[in-house]
Amino acid sequence: MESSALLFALLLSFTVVAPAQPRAYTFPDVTVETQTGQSVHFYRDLVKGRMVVMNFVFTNCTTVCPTMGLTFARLQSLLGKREVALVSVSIDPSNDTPARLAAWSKKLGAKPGWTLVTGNKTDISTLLKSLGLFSANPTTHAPVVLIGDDAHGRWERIDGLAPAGNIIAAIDRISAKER
Amino acid sequence: MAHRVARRHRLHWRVELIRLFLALLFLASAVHAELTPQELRGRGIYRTGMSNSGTPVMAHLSENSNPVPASVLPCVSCHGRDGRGKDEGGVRPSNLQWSALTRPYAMETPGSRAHPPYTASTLMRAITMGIDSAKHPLRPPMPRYEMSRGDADDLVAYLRVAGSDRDPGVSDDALRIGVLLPPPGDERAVVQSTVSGYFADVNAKGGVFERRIEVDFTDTLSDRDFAVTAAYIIGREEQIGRKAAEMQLPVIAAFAAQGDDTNRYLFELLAGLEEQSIALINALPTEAKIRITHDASTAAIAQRLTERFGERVASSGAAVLFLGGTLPSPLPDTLLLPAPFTSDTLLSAHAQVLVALPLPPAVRPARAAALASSQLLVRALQRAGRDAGRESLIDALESFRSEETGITPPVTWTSTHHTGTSECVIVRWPRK
Repeated sequence: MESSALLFALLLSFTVVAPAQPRAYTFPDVTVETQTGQSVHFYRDLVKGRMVVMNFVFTNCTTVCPTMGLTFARLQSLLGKREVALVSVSIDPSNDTPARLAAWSKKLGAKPGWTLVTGNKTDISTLLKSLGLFSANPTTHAPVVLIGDDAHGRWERIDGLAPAGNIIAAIDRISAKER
Repeated sequence: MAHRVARRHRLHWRVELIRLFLALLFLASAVHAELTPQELRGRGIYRTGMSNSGTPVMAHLSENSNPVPASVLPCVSCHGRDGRGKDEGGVRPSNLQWSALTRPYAMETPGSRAHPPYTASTLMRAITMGIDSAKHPLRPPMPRYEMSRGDADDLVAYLRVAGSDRDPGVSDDALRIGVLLPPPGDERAVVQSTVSGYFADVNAKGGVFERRIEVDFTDTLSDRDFAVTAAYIIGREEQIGRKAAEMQLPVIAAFAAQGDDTNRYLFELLAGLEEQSIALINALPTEAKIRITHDASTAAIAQRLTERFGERVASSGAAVLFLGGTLPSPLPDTLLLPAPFTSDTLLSAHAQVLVALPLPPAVRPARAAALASSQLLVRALQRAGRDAGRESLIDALESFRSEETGITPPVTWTSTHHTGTSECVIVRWPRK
């Protein structure tokens, strides 16, 4: 009995500390609008060839999204010389206009280097479905952060509520594999 | 005989004791309904993350994170106005009602660890240091709050009564519901008689959870009402929406033209200008080009329609969707008119006019919309339960999915979409 409890505890601790398995994503190159109202291609202009950290939020969300946003703001101050693009994708494009995204990120202390995007509902759904993150009701979405190096096709997916330090660790882990 | 008298005497005393107990219970609930100044200060911190003490309240996501104003992450965002906690993104915030925090045995909630009952000091430690009553660190979504001792005392004082303080308009035996009337005229009288009749019927059947509905016919929003139904807000959507949000007063608009899905407190029953415009454009052949006229108040809708229909929107379209502004000259072959823009002049000036109506022409819109919005309010009150506050009423309204009213198209309200339906009827004018 004791040994099975120990085994369970070991398994549990393994699942907590083990890095997420690298996986490949194919990003559709849909047209999206940034928080400044600029029209860009999601893959070509925001992801291609870059180290990217990406989360999925909506401005009407009052529980997990402000926390994920603050984690991004904190991440910006921890990045140092690492060249990493931060991207937040609105999962409620019908309501999230560029102006709302800009106001939301400003309230959380966003600095340049963090791009928030919204767009046509069909295009955003296509994007979210391609990442396995589509949810018909935004309030039931899973808090997730994708961290990846597009140039080398290495991506990790971690808990969106993990502290900024865990994201830094994932960035460094992915970068180390490239060397 | 003496034995029987003694038994009757004991029974009498038991009845008296039960009466005394019930009276004390009533007193306790009455005390909770009226908050003390300290509890009111605590409620302010709980709901806004701000304090009037002069010392800012700050929030940290973790031990080393940069502090942010607690107004970004106030308690109410995750734990709700009633303190019970609301699910989002797979996260279940704890129930902060005092009865749940202080249960006299170790509590274990799904996905969390067991912890002993909280005391005022362990609760304060949880709020300020992120350590639970079992001395375990709280999970990451829960911030650590930095505040003065006085503010922490106020907040804990409020948490002792959170959820038991009633919202305005609620008493033990009555619920006051406002009705925002249309301007003087036929519709006003129709709305008054429809709503009066409906709630008289509800009251005759016992009211809602044994509370009588008191109807407050009014021309302005008032904080004396628990919620507002059958609201006529055409032409003053923005003003009413802003006031409802300021007062945190749920309003069901029976008649509105412009939807605002970002306002948590405003619910619209029928298709608005944008939904009607989409239906009108979809009624034309897919190759038809459309010109859109607008004024300042409809510019945002015109912009969204242009984005939605792309190349079909052109400056020289043969059909004109009229959203205000001036009609182009020469006059178009086809004129598309959402209901709020119908006028005798526009209806008679053109060979082909398509009109969008939120309800079929045979239905008296004032009666149908007033009745449907009142029915939905009562159903939401029933779903929310006897102890419901305004916030749980909103949660109940946001749970309607294709809710049938029998008189309007089915209504769906979600947390991100407050326009009940996009269905409307297209009528060709002159009618054949």
